[in-house]
Amino acid sequence: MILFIEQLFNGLQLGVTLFLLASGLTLVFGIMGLINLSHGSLYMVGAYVAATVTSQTDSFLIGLVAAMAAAALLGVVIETVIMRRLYHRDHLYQVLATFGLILFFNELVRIIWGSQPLFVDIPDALNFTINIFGEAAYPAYRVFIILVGIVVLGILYGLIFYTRIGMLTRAGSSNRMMAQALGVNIDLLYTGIFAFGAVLSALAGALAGPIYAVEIGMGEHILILAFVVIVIGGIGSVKGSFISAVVIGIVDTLGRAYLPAIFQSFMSASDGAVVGSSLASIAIYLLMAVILVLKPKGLFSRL
Amino acid sequence: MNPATHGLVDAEGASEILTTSGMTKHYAGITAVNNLSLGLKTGEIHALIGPNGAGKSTAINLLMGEVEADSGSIVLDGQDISKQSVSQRSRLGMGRTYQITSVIRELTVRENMIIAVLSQTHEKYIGLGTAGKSPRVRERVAEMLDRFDLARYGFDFAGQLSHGEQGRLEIAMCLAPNPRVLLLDEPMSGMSLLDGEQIVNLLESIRPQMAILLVEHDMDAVFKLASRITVLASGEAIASGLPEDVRKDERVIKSYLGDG
Amino acid sequence: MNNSPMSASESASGSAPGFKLTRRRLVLWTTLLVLAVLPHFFEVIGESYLTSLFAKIFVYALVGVSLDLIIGQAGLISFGHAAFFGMGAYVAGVLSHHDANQIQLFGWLEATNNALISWPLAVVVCALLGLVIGAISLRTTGVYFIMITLALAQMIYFLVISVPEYGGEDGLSLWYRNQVPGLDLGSDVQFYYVCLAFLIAYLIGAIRVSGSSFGLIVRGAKFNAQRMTSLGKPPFRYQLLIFAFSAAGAGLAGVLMVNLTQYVSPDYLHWNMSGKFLVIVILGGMGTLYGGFYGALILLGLEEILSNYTDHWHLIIGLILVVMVLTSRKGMFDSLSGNGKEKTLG
Repeated sequence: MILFIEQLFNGLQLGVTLFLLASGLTLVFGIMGLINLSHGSLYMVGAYVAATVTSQTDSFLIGLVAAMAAAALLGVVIETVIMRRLYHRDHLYQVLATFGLILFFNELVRIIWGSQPLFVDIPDALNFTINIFGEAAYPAYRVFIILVGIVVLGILYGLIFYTRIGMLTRAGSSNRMMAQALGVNIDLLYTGIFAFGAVLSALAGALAGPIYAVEIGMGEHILILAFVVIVIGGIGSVKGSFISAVVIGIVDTLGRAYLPAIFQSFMSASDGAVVGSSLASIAIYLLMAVILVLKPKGLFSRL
Repeated sequence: MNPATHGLVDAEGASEILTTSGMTKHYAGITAVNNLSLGLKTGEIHALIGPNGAGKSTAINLLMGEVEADSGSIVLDGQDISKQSVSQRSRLGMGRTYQITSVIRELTVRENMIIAVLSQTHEKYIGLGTAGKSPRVRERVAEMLDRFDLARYGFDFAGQLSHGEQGRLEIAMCLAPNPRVLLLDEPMSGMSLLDGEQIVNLLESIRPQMAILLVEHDMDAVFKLASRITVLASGEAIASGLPEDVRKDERVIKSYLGDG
Repeated sequence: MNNSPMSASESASGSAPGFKLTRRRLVLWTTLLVLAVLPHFFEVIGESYLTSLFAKIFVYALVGVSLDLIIGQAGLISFGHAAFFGMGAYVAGVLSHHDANQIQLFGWLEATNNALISWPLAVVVCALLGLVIGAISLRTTGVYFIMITLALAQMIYFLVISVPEYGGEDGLSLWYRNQVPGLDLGSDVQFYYVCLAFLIAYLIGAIRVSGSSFGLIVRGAKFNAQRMTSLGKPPFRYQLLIFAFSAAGAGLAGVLMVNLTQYVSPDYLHWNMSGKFLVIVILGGMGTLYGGFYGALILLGLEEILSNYTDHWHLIIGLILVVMVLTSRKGMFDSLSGNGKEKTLG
């Protein structure tokens, strides 16, 4: 039972990390119609910047802020130089150009930081455990990540539904012409949205640093998971992303924790381990396939 | 199979090839089509008229199966087709045009026609022989292009044709499989006078072989062509009958014809 | 318009069937002639390793052609062709591995190193996988299709590397290439010609398919699915078949790849590979089919040359890709043959 609660929280933490990535991805796609493969590169850059700055300053907080600032800057540059010219292109060309960007950033990171993974310590202030339901001693740092995700969800909701920018964003996504007629500077709005997505992605990367290794290509695996998230959640839907991110985080984590044991209970130990872990590694993709068969456009409509 | 409507024979002796009864469709609180009963006969052009939003296009979508009816039956030549898919209905001999002309703009006129003729071959599998090479297909394509005065555009992209020519091509494509029922959604909308006249003549010439449902705003064309007219308003048929009777109907004048 | 690939069926049945030496044909025949004598040329100049590089180019070209068949003809952007490429490699490689180590498959089936058995088997497995992945993915369109093919391919990747028996993330090294009676696949020159022959055969098949009634219906569905459905030809079945044919081509390429490198690598299944295949199609010119060859030639040639100068050549390739998309709307072969304009996808 203790283990189960721990795994549930691990799943929640993975889900929140996925949500931080997926929310930017889904906003950029839903509003600008851009499929951005290099979104994971911003996650990687965030992790690297945070790792470096943290080790230089001994402050995890400064590392986080630096990562987000770097991502915002990078986001503005990428958007104005490249992405802006891709919004009206066919998805195939968007895939190609942003694939090129992945190659570029991976190599750039290799040049700057080298090929060896970096390891980041959990910040001292959060390096303790919390008793959950009085039973499980759970790392506070992971709880912190979950809380950050929930705060971000709240901020996103507030921004989208209760501010002028959110209204303009919704107008811009459904009717570009109308938004322009309302006197909105669409270019600026789009740059802002893209940079905001970049900041969230870098935040996810920076937070993930102390848990996973900071290494080249770290953004790609999680990016594909984020794609699964937004496909299941319905492209463009922030609510859908959050729900499906949490579901996927939990399914993936619980699958890995329990499926091998479940299969071992009625198969030989070695076969059960192989079958169980194989099934665990593809569980979320199977889930996606089933959902798509039932609902080809995902679970939720936009925003 | 609905014995009540099967082989319904009216006073003139022609039996209805397509009969609907009680066809109804609601969309989130709006009744698009309510309890609509239509009968189409071979050799007749049945016009469906009414103001915008009256449910005419929805009626065509229901007949073709692109939208599933909430209730009511659709019987084609004695067979209940209301659960059949669009392509099943197509293979049973129904064809339709769209309000926004729907030809394959990126292919040539000839390729469009080859596809239409191929769709007549009802095999599940379409062969690997060069498209349009078999004599049967080639002759049929040439014949159809000739008949609709499109042969000289054979190698042009369909998207390059004028609006009128595209409309003609679309009708020709629907006719290639020799349908028994043809559903036309505003075939003359946006056309020049001359193009519209050509469509009128074309419909006259194909009328004897099939039953035609014509949705159209051009009242001159409607009264020139129609054997019967049904007037829709807010999804309901408010009048149905011979053109001269419908023209005199007070409700029709009040709700639709009056302002024209 | 007559040199547009879309009108292949037109010129075959149209009014002027005679052979015309168009610029496109000239490029094509010159290419074939050069490729036929290339290994001997490499031998003469003492750079025999280039023979294997070109065999590799043919392998990638084969995937390029198969992918262009569904992108250019059917408008289906698969971001998961590595699944078929890798599956072909793993089926042939695993059979060979079992054979070499005298381990029966599933504990009862005798494995084989005979190409005449293992290659067709691998291709059939890939075609079947194509039917399954296609059937799921074709329920969606546009960007969903891109992401689903990507995700399903990723699923295959994780599935395969979770089997420790076949090397997991390290892959499998093979002791020798497959065997065919009468040929020595171990010879790089002979293997070069085998790859070239398969490339040409598949290319002819693909051109044949695109010019056929079947291909015309697939193209019609790409541009106007609604019209095809109301004509009684719902696109799904046709799209699924061409997707499976494409998967088979990519699988065949995987079989050749594993023989070329004698190494079953999980990289073959990795999504980076799928991205590379898309790059090849676009570099070569979408919708031309043989563009796949030129795309592979350019990409692999570029990699080869750049890697001589710097370890960080990925940086340059990435930049080139971005710049190419932003500035040019043509594929490379389109430029060579003077046939341009971006073909938008339905």
